[in-house]
Amino acid sequence: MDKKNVSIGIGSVVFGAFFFISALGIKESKASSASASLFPKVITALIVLMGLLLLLREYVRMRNGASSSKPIELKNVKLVIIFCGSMLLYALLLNTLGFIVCTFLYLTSMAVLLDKNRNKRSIVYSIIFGILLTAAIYLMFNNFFNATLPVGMIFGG
Amino acid sequence: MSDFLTIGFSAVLTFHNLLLVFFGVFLGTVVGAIPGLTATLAISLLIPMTFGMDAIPALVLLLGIYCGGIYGGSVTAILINAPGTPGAAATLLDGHPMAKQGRAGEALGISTISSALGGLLSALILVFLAQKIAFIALKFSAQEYFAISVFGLTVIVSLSNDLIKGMIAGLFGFTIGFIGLDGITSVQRFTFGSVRMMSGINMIPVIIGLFAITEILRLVEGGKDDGKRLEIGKINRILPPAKVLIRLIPTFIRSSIIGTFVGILPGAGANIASFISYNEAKRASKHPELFGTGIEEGVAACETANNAVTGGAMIPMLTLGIPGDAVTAVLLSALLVQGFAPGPLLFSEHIDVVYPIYAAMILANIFVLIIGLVAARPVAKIAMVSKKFLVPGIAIFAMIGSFASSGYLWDLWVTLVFGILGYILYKLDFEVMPIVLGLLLGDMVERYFRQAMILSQGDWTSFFTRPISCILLLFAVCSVLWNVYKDIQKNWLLKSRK
Repeated sequence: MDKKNVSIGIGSVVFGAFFFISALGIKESKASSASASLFPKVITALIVLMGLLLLLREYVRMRNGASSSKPIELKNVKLVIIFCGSMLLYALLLNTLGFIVCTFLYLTSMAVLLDKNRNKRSIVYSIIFGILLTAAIYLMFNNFFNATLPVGMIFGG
Repeated sequence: MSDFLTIGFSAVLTFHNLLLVFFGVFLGTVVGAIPGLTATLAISLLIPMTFGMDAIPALVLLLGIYCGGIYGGSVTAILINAPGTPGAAATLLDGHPMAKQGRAGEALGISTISSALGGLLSALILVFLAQKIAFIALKFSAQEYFAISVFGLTVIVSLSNDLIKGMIAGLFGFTIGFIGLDGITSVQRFTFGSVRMMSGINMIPVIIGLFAITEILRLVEGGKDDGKRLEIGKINRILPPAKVLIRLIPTFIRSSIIGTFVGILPGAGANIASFISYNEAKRASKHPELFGTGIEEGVAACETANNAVTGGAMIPMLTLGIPGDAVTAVLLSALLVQGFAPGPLLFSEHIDVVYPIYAAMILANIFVLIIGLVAARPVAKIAMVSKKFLVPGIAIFAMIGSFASSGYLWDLWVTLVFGILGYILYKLDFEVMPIVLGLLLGDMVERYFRQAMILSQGDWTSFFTRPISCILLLFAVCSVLWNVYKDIQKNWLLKSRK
């Protein structure tokens, strides 16, 4: 049995069913003859149907003795999780620490983290990289793209 | 044609716009040359930065990246035997053997000239065909648009590696598009009482998440940067001899036509075009046995075709609003952000935008030629940038780009959620492209269906009594049925015979 397809099948049934039930609660406007809930109901029901079909296919294949396909390959899981966590932390702290502090810390720490041959010199390079790219993005967004970046509590008072 | 020349080029031929095309092509070439990064990623990252720009400069920049990005893949394919983009995979077959024979410069020269010629010829076909298709499409009503959107969606989804998973991905994208206030009746759908959800999920943060963050996580998965760099060999004379170029003329023409028409087809992209073109060049050759040993025709066929896809893919996107692949889907969202809905009305109401798009495509390909011939080596060197700097750099551009697209932290969260989700789905062999197409085309399918129902006062048969709509819907049904049949053969029955 292909665990990947079974996970997707179950996930689709749960997702589709949840949204189908929510679609049942969509109120219809009396002013228009075009139903606002028709498509959400049909599409989410189709997701459930496709999820069930995927599970049925896996069952048929298993019964027919089909060889199970490749397992989920997990490489450098810790590194990926730390990287995801750092991005979530960045989003969490952006408004508090502000763009400059947050971005510098993120860039430098990630450059250090992704360096296999870490030494004093490479850490200094990572710090310089953090400073330069933070400054470049700040100038670019503020001067050319007219975007307001968060100042944060430290600089924003 | 004279209107196109005067309106199109006069809008684009300013110093500022020329600089943007140049910058776009250069950036696209560098990103395309980096193995693992694609033009789609580069355009997704740049879209938020074009928000504050006028429409023409923004589009000119993005089209430059598009053309440069497709070309850039060949640089590293030839020099280090690693295609920068999937579209350059076939270029390896003859490009790298040429480099190993000490003819890296010549291979780069042929690849550059072929790419520029392929791109230019396809841009001319775009100029010639788009207006005519748009003129026909002007007569379409909501029924035909509904049928075209359904046709586009089903063809693209059914071209996925796994039909059922492709369908689930497309339907998932469709569902994400429902979130927010309904465009016709203003009724709340899937908002779960959240005020933030009432304005819906913006397309741009979703696209950045699925294309940029997912790609970054795949790079991280490859492990830490060990500091090892592949050697770029010596690059000799870049400009190929005139007699070689004259010999390649039939290949240029054949591959340009193949590339453009493969580009028009939904779901088929640069990689398919270059392999078909390579095979056709081999079939037409008097020395097919030399293909794969480092023959100029091999490089020319692939590179002409993959860049010719650019003009072809723009035809359904501009005239009907149907993106055929990931890059045109992202370009479509960029046009929408600028307030222009692609489709035949774009040609009647905003020809001042359409002509500059043509002109920008032509100029971008001329810049491909210049950058390729002058700066191939520096591009390859930049493409070898350390992973430890590249990965956090792209991540920060993706995050700040999605934040700056609206100024709300919410959009940054949307990007991260979809990025991480995209990575998990990738690990489950689930393609993310149909999600984006479901999101973009799903909205069109529903909108045109409901408009048609209002216009026909609830008469369902109007979809089948109009010939074009009926034929397209029949095609859509046939495409699904054919793929169901193939899926049954491939995934249900075949395994049971073992």
